Amino acid sequence: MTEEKKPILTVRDLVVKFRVRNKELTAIRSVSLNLYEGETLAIVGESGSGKSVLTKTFTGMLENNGRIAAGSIEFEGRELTGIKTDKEWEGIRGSQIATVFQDPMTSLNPLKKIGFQITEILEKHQKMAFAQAKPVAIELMTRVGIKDAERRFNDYPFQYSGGMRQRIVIAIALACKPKILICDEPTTALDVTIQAQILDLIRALQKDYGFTTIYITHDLGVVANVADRVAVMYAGQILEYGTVREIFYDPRHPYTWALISSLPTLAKKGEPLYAIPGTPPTLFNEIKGDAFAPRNRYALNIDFEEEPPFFQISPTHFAKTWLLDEKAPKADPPVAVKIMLEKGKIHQGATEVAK
Amino acid sequence: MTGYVFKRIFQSILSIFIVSALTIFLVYSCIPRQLVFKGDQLLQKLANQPDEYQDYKYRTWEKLGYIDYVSQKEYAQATYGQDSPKVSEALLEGSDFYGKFRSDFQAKGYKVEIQPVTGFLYASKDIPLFSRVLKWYANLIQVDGPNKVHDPDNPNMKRGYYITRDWSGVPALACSGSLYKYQIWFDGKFPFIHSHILTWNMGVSYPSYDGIPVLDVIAGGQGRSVRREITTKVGGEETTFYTSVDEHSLKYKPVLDRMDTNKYDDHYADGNNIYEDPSMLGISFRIGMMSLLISLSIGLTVGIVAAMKKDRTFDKITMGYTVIISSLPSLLYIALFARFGMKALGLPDKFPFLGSGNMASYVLPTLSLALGGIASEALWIRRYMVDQMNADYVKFARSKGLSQSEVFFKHIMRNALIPVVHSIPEAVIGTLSGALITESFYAVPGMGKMFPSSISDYNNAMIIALTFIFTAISVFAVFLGDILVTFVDPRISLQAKKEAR
Ligand SMILES: Nc1ncnc2c1ncn2[C@@H]1O[C@H](COP(=O)(O)OP(=O)(O)O)[C@@H](O)[C@H]1O
Ligand SMILES: [Mg+2]
Repeated sequence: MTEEKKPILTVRDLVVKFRVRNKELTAIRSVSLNLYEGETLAIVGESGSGKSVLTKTFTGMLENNGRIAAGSIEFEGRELTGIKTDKEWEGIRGSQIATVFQDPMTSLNPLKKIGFQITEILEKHQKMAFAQAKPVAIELMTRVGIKDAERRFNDYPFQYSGGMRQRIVIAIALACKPKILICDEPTTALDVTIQAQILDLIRALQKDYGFTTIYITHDLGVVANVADRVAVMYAGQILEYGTVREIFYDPRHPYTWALISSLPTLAKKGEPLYAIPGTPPTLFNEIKGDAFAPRNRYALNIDFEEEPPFFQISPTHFAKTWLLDEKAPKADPPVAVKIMLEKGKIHQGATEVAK
Repeated sequence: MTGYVFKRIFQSILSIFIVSALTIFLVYSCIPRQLVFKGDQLLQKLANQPDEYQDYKYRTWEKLGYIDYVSQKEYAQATYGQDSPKVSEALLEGSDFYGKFRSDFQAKGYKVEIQPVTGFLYASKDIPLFSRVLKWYANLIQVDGPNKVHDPDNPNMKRGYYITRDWSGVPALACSGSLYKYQIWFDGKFPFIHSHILTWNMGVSYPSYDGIPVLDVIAGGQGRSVRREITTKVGGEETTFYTSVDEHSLKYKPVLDRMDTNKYDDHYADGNNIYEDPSMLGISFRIGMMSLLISLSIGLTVGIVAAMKKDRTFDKITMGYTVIISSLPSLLYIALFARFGMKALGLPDKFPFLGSGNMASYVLPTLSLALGGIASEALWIRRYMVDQMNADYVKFARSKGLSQSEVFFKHIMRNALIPVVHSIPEAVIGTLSGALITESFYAVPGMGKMFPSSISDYNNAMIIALTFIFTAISVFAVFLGDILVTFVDPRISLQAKKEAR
């Protein structure tokens, strides 16, 4: 089904390195990815796994000490890794690919009126005059759920609550009707009820505007509500990707198992929440074998020796673990994962009945 | 907002008063009163006349507010009347008056002593520190009006205000019966409208500028007096004469001489001269303001450009400059700069060479004063800009597709300027304290030079007055900074409005 869709953004064998005090760390280690038009792709992984760095390369926002060492990023037939100047990027940022960052409290300039921060980019990208841009901005504000937008147009960010600021940030990001919206942990800094409102808002807007979304989060729980597909990242690599259904109800990589085991909704009362033992590897050294192996109780000997390839499970589902090799012994997944597998079967039955 | 402004004005005035009260306390309690005579030539001449020597010293102390002093003769005159024959009787040896003097004054807590040669008695009592401070404030503002002057020799003086024209023919409000003739007048000098209804008084200068009110020393002209030809009506007749007197400063003069009656119709014949050179205050103000403007404009521009070109050559040179300026003692770099200015540019390295009329005199003192300010303004704005460049809202603004320069000028700049506006009072205070050094170094006849010299002269009234003025400027600068910030920072103006409610 997804195969028929057209990829809007294609990443091939991307490697990103940072220079830190005469040493080099590799933050992204050969990532390949297709983003299909109109879908919502969630990227999950512990913090530090490279989610932000990966998406920053799509808009040329890597810090000065970072560089793309290898690979390609193709956006609508255009090669992005070849872009050298900020001037060229200005034609893509905001108008083609927009980003919403984590902290709405600090994403807006504290000294500029809300209205100015929206009209500014309409004036820049759509060459509108202020008088034209103002009603557009007010409409956007209304669209993202700001009541009494006309009056609040002239307010300053400090007069807005955190949730309202994030709505404004989204309005700014969507002002020029970008093709891709990158949401980098857009609700992490907000409290739970507001999180849900913002997620609903993004979904509703996506329906109206038809943009493609990349949704970054370290919280697998959020993913189920927002995404069509999920990519699981660890130490600068994608370890498993598939549809939401496949990742939740039929996960294959032990790291995905670990993420599912640590979901608070599956924890039994009174038992401590599962936490993945150990720490991610340092990115300064070359990683041998499977990066997750040292923390993986299902690790095979070969996991420490040789990097696993991607094994295909379904046309849309791939995982990078030796457990899927024919010669591998059968592993017994953790309880939480088994519960999910069961749920998956019931769901499947239900949908089949519904048909 | 207005409530907030009033609150801040009140706080400012309060802090000026506290600082000057402290200064008065310190000056009167820490400086031994013997030291005030250090620069007094007259006292040294009296060295071999012990009685006169003692009398002069005590009278001076009384004038400076240290003590109450009464001699036996004064007391006799007060008891029997000015010209009574009993006065000289009271001074004769063996007179009962000696006992009366002693017992009367001892009862009032005075210390009674005997003059070494004549053997006359005199009594003295310290005025408590606290009432000295109160007196200073009580005399600070003088109110003038038609009932101010009471001259026994001129009992039928008319009293009241009237409209007249000054020597230049400009209408003015004058008064008879007041201390000053002109109460409200206009001229070409800032702030163009002037008044004598309320005047400041901070005591009389001593021992330097002996007898002149300290504010006249600070704010009055300097150098040679300027004579000019005046044509005006005296006694109904058109009269022409030469004078250097500033008619607006004319005060009541009890005894007139012929020179006076030739020029004036009334008793207002005691005026200050007009001088060639501006006052200490004026010279310091010119240099201070210019240097402040130069530090802000050059310092901020350089710092902003350095931030934009971070880690490139321009930035490195700028940082090098700030490091050198802030690590060298200021006197050293001023001396080097003065040498450079003199040798390479041919500018005078002492102010009096060309005097206050020549612009060249101001160049080196102004620039020397600005050197430090440029360095600190550049350093701070650069630091704030670089800080802001890493802020989230800057990242977001860039991801919106704004160009580097749009992000810089529309977003970063104003955020970085807020702490700079906060630091303007600091810059003003820095300029004030810098002026103490540069004015002494270049021998500029300004307040900055006056301050250290009044300290070494033990000119108490001057020290107090200058402290008062410097404090007032600093406090006003802080106040101004606070008000300015409410204009650049919307968050603060609202807080202030809330506070005011
Ligand atoms: N500018 C940088 N310089 C050096 N290291 C960086 C830089 N940006 C990110 N990294 C490193 O790259 C790795 C991935 O970071 P990031 O993509 O921000 O993680 P996350 O998945 O939490 O978004 C981390 O180890 C981080 O320390
Ligand atoms: Mg991140």
